Amino acid sequence: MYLFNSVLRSLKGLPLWCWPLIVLLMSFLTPVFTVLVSLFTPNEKDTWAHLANTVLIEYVTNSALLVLGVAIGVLILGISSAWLIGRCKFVGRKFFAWALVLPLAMPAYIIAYTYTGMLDYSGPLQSLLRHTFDWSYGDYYFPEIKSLGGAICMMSLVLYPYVYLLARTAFANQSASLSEAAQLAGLNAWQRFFKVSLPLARPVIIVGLSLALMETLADYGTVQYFGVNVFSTGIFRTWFGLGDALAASQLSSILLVFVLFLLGVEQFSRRKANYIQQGGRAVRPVLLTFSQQCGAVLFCSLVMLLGFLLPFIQLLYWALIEAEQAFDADFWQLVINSLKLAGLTSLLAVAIALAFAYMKRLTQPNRLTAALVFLAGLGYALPGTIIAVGVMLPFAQLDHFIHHQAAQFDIHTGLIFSGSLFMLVFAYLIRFLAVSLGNVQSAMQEITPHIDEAAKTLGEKTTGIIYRIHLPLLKTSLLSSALLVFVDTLKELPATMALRPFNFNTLAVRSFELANDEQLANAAPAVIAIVLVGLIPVIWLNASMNSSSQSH
Amino acid sequence: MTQTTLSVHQLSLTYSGGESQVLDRASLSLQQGEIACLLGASGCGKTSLLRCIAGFEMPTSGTIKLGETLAFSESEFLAVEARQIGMVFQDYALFPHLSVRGNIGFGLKNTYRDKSQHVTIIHDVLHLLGLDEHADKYPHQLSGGQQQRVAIGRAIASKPKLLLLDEPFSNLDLHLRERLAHDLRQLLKSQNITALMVTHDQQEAFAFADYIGVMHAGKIEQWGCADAIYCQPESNYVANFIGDGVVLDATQASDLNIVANASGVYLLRPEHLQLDEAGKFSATIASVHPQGHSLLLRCAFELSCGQQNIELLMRCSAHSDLAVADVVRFNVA
Repeated sequence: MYLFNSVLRSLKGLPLWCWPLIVLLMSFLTPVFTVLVSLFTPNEKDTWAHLANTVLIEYVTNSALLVLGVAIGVLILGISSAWLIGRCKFVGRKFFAWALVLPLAMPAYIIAYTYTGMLDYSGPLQSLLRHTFDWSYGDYYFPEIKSLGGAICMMSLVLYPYVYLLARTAFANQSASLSEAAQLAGLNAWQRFFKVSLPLARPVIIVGLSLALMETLADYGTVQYFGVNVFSTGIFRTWFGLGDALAASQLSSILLVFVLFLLGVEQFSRRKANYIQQGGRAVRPVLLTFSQQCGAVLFCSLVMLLGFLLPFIQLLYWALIEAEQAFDADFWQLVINSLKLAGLTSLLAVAIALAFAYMKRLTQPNRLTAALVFLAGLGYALPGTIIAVGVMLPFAQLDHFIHHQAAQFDIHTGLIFSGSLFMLVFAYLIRFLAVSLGNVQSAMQEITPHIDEAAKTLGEKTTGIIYRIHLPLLKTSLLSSALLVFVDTLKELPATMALRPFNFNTLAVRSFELANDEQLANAAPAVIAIVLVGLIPVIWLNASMNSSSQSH
Repeated sequence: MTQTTLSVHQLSLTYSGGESQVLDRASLSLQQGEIACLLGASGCGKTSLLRCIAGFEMPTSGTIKLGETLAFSESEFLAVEARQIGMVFQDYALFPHLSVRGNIGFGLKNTYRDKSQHVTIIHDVLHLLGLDEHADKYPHQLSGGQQQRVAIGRAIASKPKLLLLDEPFSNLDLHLRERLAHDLRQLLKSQNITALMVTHDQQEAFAFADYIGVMHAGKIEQWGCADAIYCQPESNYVANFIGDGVVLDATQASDLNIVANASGVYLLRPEHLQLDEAGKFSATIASVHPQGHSLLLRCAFELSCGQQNIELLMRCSAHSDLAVADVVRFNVA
């Protein structure tokens, strides 16, 4: 009751222009709302009972194992590479500092295709082994890449940069006096790592880990391609295979629990990380001995090679040499479709983020708008599958309602929203608004209120302040967030697969279809295009993290 | 003939439904060309008063007049941008994307239509503040002192009716502050600019201002020229806040033959007491505080009627060899 009253009070204080934005903000919560409602909707089909009796346990165990495995992989790769780059001095450290970020440009489903191509029975490695040792099928053991373990490896290889990037900054900025105090207390290097450096970086590492695991749960391409039954594939199968969208939505609610747990952990750790003051003189990296340097270079090269270079070279080889129809008209049509979609989404995402951030700034200290903006910025945690289900169900109902109403007047409307680009872009916005919102908000926070006040005392009005001060100061972050959303949209697979209009294809979807048809080489041109565009923000991200760690 | 530039009358400000009173019927007025300072501990309401005058805060009651214009009353509220006020912020709030020239010229568009005038004004301001060679640098390339001068230049470029300064020296080196406060005073006087500064630093206030207002708990405890604030404090709070000293009650004062000042306060500053071997009174040294140029002695003085001892502050040469528990004799001036 108290909550209700305070919400009511907050609403009353809002200026008129805020209302459309509030409605828009609420609409971004649609998927969660749909999934929750579906839990209480009786399902006439007995799909749910069928699922519970057959595959549900498998979904839960596989998803849990996948998350656990990726967590271990990401932590080992991320922390050790972050420590090497952040705290050690060795030949090539500067090069590896950014080279280790490159795997972030590879969606997991893409390296899944390439490793399958390289490692399966007819691939180059096994052929070479058979040829050299004169073996034939069944004579030898070779690990099956298309398995749960394979999926764990693939995702660890491309998701570790989340931990690497955050932990690297944390390690490099740790205060020298802390490490000196530990040295004086008689701790050796290993003890200092486990008792001082690691605990201090832990909140940040957990943030990175949660982000990586959210991506793991959101993944559809890898697990589907490898035939591993987890939630995201299960939701799709229930929806399209069994044709029961309601059951798919109910299934999503279990996935949502996983996601919300991760989200809670991430937000909690973020807050904790803010308390750990990283001040004072930063530690100096330690110069490694010759043999240690060899080890460091070997480790970093291996990680970069497996996570990026090897798959990239394989893709190039396929695209340039083996592909039958590489850059034909169809391909360019895909490029145009993808660019159109990503461009539209990034433009809208930035515009909406700007509007929300302004509303929050201008209505301060209204807690309600701040809370709503915060909630709208959590969509990054929702897997594309959940968003797809959660958007499709209400829009389909809306369409049926409109169709039904219009039919009474002999007007044939057909389906207006479902199966339109509008719905797809809306789904993208829910998932990627966080990217632009976070960027714009933090840039806006750096403009202190005093700056606005100074401009006012100099006789400038609100519109003038926006035009002469805010826009010039926000320009860079607006551009960079547009770029980030653009690339994320380009890579997004499950939401696009589920919601795209009939016969509308994008680079990501087409490459997935071709790969599933065992036409890996023909998928390569589209895949290369995705990776190349994906490289831009990765390099930019690395540069901006470098400059921010230097300025501290 | 002088004219009143700023007059604040009975200004009150309360937050969240009367729960916290930030300003309590504060009044002050400034004539053209006068420089004043609001002095007080943090949280006393001095910055809020400044922000009310600037127009960033909406007072609850009272009036603010800028020249002949009513800037605030129960029924009027003049927008910040229409008040023609210059302000220097504690963090300077320079526009990071504009050069020194751009910062100083920012407000000219709204004051002077003629573009050719802008160039001359910017040139003059740059010269006045000794920033000629830094005209094309950006704020982050300047030292703290240079940034402060840019902030002042930006605030005075459009010839505001009143200049407000919010702790303008707090980001600068301690030993620079007093000199800079003095320099700024000279600059403002030469331009005949009316200014009101907020600070918590007494030295700064005395070096800068013609008039000082001591604020406490939202009230202006005393408003007067610097000399009056020091010599004739009108309340215990002011007496204790400004300089070293002891405030006595009437019976305590009579033991030392002290007469109350105009406002009925018995204030005893260290310079009122002279050490003298043939002095009329005696006290025991409780502690010795070296202050570089002199020693400050905290002494216990025994009252005649057997009340508790009172503490007196005295000063003596830094070379004296007085120690704790010594008995000193003194006279009251």
